[in-house]
Amino acid sequence: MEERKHTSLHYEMELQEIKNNLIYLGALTEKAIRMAMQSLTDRNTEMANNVIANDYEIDKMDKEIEEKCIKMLALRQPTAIDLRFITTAIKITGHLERIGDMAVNIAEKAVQLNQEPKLKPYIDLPNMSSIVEKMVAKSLDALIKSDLQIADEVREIEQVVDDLNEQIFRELLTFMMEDSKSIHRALLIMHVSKNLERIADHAQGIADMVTYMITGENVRHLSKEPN
Amino acid sequence: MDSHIIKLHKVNFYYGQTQALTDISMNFGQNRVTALIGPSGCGKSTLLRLLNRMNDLIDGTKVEGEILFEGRNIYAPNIDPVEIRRKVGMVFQKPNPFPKTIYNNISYGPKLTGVTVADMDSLVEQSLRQAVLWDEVKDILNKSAMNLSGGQQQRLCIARALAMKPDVLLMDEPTSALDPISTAKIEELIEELKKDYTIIIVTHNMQQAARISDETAFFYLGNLVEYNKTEKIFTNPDVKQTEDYITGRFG
Repeated sequence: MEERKHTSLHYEMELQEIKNNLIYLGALTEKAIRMAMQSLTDRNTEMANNVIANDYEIDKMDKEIEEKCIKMLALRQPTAIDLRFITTAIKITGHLERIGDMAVNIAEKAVQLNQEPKLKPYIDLPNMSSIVEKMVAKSLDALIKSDLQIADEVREIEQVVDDLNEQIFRELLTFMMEDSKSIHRALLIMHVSKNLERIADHAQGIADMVTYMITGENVRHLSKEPN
Repeated sequence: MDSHIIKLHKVNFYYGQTQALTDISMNFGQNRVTALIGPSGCGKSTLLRLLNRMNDLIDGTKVEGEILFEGRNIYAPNIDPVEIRRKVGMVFQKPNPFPKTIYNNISYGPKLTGVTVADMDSLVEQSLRQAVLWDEVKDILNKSAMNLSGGQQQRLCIARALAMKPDVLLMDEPTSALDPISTAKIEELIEELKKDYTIIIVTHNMQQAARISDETAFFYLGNLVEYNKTEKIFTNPDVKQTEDYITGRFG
């Protein structure tokens, strides 16, 4: 449904600005994941260092969005959908900032891995990474379009990522058992995989908040609740 | 026991040919604070005034439907409106103390209605204490009420209403003419009074409704659009119109 506009145009503009900032922050984090993974698969250490160096931009944007949200709470005293949007924005910006940190973790592992011979061709990792990037993009798409169905789709994909992570772990375990010289590299790759899996968790966190924003229902941690 | 002290069933109200309220059915919980909100002309003040028959004083008005107060239809022919107004007290937007002493402002009502009060002094003290005004005025009880500040005058009006030992207090924008500190005092007072009284308050200040009420009713063009727990209304209302109003997307 098309939202009616606020009587106060400034209020309307401030809300829109937060939304735009979130989109921009989302684009920065998506780029960070993509570059971090590419620095690993292309063995491009310079690119990895760029990801690490550019993280401050993500942190800066995160702080800026949070400050804007707090200001809105204090000055506009939002209610209903506006209140839910602003509390959602505060949580989403936190998720995105953490995703940025995880891209940095991946880039740091890439720097180390690039100094050693390749353990094996990267097949599952890029596959996992493209699914994870899609999850992040979709979760933000759900936010922008206020679309419950897209948020549901993000939650569904999350399981696929968990399974891929498990599979990568098992495979690397066999490498380590066969050749102890591979342990260091295998552990680094496990870290990469684990970080991708954590990014997927954050994307799900974003989707959960979008669901809350639209319905007012808190769906976080539902699967962990005792029956 | 039924915890609803006032019940409305299919209430319509007309000023002459103009219908001001349409088919209102709602119940007010005992010892609850209920806020009535909505844009000007939505019928919220009209509804408030229906609850103690204040609209009787306006010519050409007509009420349909049932308004039960403690189980009795207050518009039944055998009901004395003065008795209703004693049980359902009212505080208005602008503080309106009598041009009398502080003491006489409180004692006037009970004396006039022929209630025998064994100890008027203690009734005055008790009423002023309940309205959290006693400490400020105990040494100047024989001074004119007109010398008090706006906030004190409004608390005096509340004390005056309480002296009649009502069950329900109706408040029509009781803080709109007050500064923030006096407003905070009245709001704090409402929280206290809730223990002993049922309070129904009309307010244009939505944050005030959110702060002090248990339930909120949103009116628009004489209709009750949504009536729900205040927390629900302000975080996730069921009706789009309510949301548009409380988020400032109206008009």
